[in-house]
Amino acid sequence: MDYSAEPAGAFLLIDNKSFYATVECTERGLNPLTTPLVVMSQAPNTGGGLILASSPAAKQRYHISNVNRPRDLPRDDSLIIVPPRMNLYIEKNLEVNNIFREFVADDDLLPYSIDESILDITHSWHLFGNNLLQVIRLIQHTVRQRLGLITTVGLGHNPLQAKIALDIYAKHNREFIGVITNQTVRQRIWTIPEITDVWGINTRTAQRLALMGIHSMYDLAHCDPYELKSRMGIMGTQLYATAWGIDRTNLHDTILRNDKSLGNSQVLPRDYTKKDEIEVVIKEIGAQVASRLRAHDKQAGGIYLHIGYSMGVIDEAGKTGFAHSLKLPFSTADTKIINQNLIYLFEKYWDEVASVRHVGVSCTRLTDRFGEQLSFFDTPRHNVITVEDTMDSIRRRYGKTAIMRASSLKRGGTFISRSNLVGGHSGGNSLE
Amino acid sequence: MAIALSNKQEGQLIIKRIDKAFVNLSRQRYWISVVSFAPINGYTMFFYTLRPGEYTRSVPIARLSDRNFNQLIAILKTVRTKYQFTFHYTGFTRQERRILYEEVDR
Repeated sequence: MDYSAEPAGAFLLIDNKSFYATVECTERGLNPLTTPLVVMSQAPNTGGGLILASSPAAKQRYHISNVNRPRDLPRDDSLIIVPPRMNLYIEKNLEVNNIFREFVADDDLLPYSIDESILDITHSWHLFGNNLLQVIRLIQHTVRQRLGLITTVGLGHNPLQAKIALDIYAKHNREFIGVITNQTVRQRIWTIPEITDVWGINTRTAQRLALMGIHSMYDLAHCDPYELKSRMGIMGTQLYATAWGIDRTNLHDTILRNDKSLGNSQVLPRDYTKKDEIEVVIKEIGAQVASRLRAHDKQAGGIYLHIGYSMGVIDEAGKTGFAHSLKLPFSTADTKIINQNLIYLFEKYWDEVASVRHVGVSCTRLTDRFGEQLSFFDTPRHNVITVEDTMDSIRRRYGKTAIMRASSLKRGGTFISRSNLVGGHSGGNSLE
Repeated sequence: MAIALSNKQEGQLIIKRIDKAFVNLSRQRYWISVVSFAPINGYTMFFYTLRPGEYTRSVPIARLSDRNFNQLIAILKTVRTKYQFTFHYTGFTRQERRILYEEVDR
């Protein structure tokens, strides 16, 4: 492979090690590498509790991983269980990225997730050290010293190589640094023992590759790329490039996001069996999605409702829930119209017997929100939307629960109890 | 926007949070961890509980940003008016610990 024609820079992918658990350890003055600590959400809809993060010591000592349940935890007094504080983690993420901004320009930094960021240090590394490893150690030391957080770093000629270096090598290295370059692709990528350990290849993709006789990254790099493309489309081409460590991403390119849908979903705190209670929740989520539509200056031409039944419950058709969509007669961001159509879908497809545990709502066929088609026969919708916009402004200024629909006070409503949650878990911002 | 509280008010707030977290059960250990936390130029506090044969639980009860040592002592003294749980101090110098034992714990 001739890499001379491929773009080659110096990219870092930096991950905060066991982010939530490390934040909680440092806040308590505890060493995150030696303290077994677990962040566990015990919100009502977690079925007794859900482990969100474990410190490296907890993973090593007790083999705990994320998505474990409280029943998987050993009854050991040296293990510390703490509640999540999502707002604190968001705040720490911003502080970490502000430290990264001291090493790169804004355009050269891409926060990838709450605990990972991509840095293009191609043009700035020489300002901070004599070689790249020195600069990486400086960044790690700065984050550790100022915030107490531990970072693992993958370095590569492109973001893909940096990501694989981080996932496969940095996390198991004493210095928490992994390196892959164009020259070491054969030794570093082709020798990865489990193909599913590679970013972008999950179990299902691995099964599809296995049907083509591809069981390793070496096999993937040496297969026929045209056959891979014909069997897997553009994803096949991407996988082939991954095997060769090729990535032509430019962090400066603006990604034009085409919002195809906006949605929210909720796992309910208990099994809901009464129709009016379920409808309260559907309307609350519908109102939430409509509010997000308005915030994005969009309107929806369609809606989608997903209902999941309680564990072990199936309906007459043998299904564990249902999901249906509906095209609206006109595009709108009006909560009332969206909710009316959601309730219509629910009443049409629910058998009035199966208990419900999961509700998801999406608004689809998004268009920009401007103007409306007037009619002699209908009242202009604009006034209704103005009321909704006013409610949105009140919430932004005074809080989510400053104004709400009276139906949220009915039994079954979850709007008030969920108002302090961030990403479905406790925000922890008020310590209350 | 956060409202600045006086030391006494902060102490009263911490007492309310301990009231919520503290359930008086037999054979259960309780203690409060007070941490000198440089990133916020202040202190953090956590309420720990431990039952025999169980894991340790820790809940946050205070995050005191931009507070000095004397303010911390005043806050801890207010907490002491209701609760006599052991304070575990982390991140303090030897001299600070001595002052804390004399002023707060004695």
